[in-house]
Amino acid sequence: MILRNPVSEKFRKWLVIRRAVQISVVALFLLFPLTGLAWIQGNIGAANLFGLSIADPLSILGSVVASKKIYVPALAAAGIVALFYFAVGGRAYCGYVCPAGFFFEISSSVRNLVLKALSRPKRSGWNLDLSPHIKYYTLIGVLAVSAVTGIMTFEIFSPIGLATRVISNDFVAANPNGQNLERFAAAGPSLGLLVLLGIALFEAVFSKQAWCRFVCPLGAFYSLVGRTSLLRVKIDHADCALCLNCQADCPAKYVLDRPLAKEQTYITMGDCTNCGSCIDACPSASLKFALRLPWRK
Amino acid sequence: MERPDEDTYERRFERVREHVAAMSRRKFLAIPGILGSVIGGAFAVFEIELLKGKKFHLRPPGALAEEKFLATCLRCGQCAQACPYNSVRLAAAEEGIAIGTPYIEARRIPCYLCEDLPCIKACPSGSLSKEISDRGNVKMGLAVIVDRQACIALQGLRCEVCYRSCPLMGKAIALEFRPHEVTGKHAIFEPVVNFDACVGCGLCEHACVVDIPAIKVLSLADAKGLMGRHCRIGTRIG
Repeated sequence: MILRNPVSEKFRKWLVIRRAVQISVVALFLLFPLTGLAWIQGNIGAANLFGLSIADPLSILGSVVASKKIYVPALAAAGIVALFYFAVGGRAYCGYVCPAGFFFEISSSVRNLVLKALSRPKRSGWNLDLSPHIKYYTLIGVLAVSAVTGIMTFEIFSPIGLATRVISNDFVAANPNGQNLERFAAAGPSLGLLVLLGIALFEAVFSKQAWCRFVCPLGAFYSLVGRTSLLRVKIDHADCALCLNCQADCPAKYVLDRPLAKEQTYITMGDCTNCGSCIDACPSASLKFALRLPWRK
Repeated sequence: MERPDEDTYERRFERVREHVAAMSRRKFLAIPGILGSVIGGAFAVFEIELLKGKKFHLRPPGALAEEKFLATCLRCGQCAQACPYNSVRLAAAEEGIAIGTPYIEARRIPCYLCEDLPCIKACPSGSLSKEISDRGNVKMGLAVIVDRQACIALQGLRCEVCYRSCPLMGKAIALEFRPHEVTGKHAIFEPVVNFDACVGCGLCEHACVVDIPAIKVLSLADAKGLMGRHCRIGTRIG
């Protein structure tokens, strides 16, 4: 991890914070399987955090659509999480929490290492660029297929589910005794781990973080939540010299288009993960996190 | 986007605005998207329907019927974490549409049917029904003597292992005696499962002493017959 921005020479505060949160989330889910300390049980789909039941809202939506029934405790568990991401920024889930997002982010950077080894410039090579709208179709698709078949569809192929189960089921037992560690050693990597590595390889070769940017229905869901989120990046046009360092570092560059063109003072697009890369990159401190009322632009 | 240093602020601003205008002129082609998701969705539906109900999984206590279970289970593994015996495991990706769902492999570690049913308490989605508070009401499956030739008790040896391993001994599995017709002086102690009492925990399957168990837990659908309603039996047993 490069702690200083190569362009603006600034210390990347938000990158460090974000990595700390990402590592903590994985560590927190490993805590119970490894030590038996029950701070958090379950996985990223649904968990019990200090006795509070929390659940992935899209997962619950999928189960309501598939079973055509509403189970109130699950709805409440999802509501708490949805409210939380409404407050801190919808796709903040993607940037700070999602273990698959973390894995793909790290594995995509293998690309830069390969380019360096081949002594090619940093942003060269294949870069498959698809439309970020695709993920909304995946979202509608998985819900529609869940409704028709009565099976929770996203859970079948979700790399997030795979990643979270690789953490809590493949490497360590889903219990405090760690018995599956031996099983894992005996059986080799599971199909789930191979699927994850496959996606990671695809992204490293063809397109950085392609799953998160173009395909992920959970990302699409949180993108919708993020449109009205309270915590957003604010741009101060007075100090901005339009150097565009922020946009160069942004993982979803189009979210900065309108704020930079002085059409908006907040980043309002749902695809902003509140990752803070732009804040780290800005040499004039024109960008900062601010509270924003849902209707403000 | 190129940024030569001698560029003035005004020129940069003009370029940013042109870029934004160009981006908003760009239309997202909705028709390929819709077409793609309809075709992809239809394929997914076809595939899922093919894979449905291919294999019986012994689910933890209180599990809803398989279809409802697959519609509601969040695959979070809290039941597995709550199980003190490691009986509950999560299905690997090889399990297809059941991936990540909890199951019990009775021959490996059966369900010991805890009095307080911690797996049901841990379930956040209601897939393990909270309506079951008494372990006698659990119905995970039904134990069936699947191979009478492999059952040593039925071959005349004194076994009783499944009978004694049953948490509902005498109720779910009873022993019926009859004379051994070959020797003429011994008895055969036949283990007989009472479907009304059997909870399907798999302790018998786990305990069965032969190499491949002669008694196995089957799904309710596979194990249970249905007597026609026109049958009138005055001497009905049990």
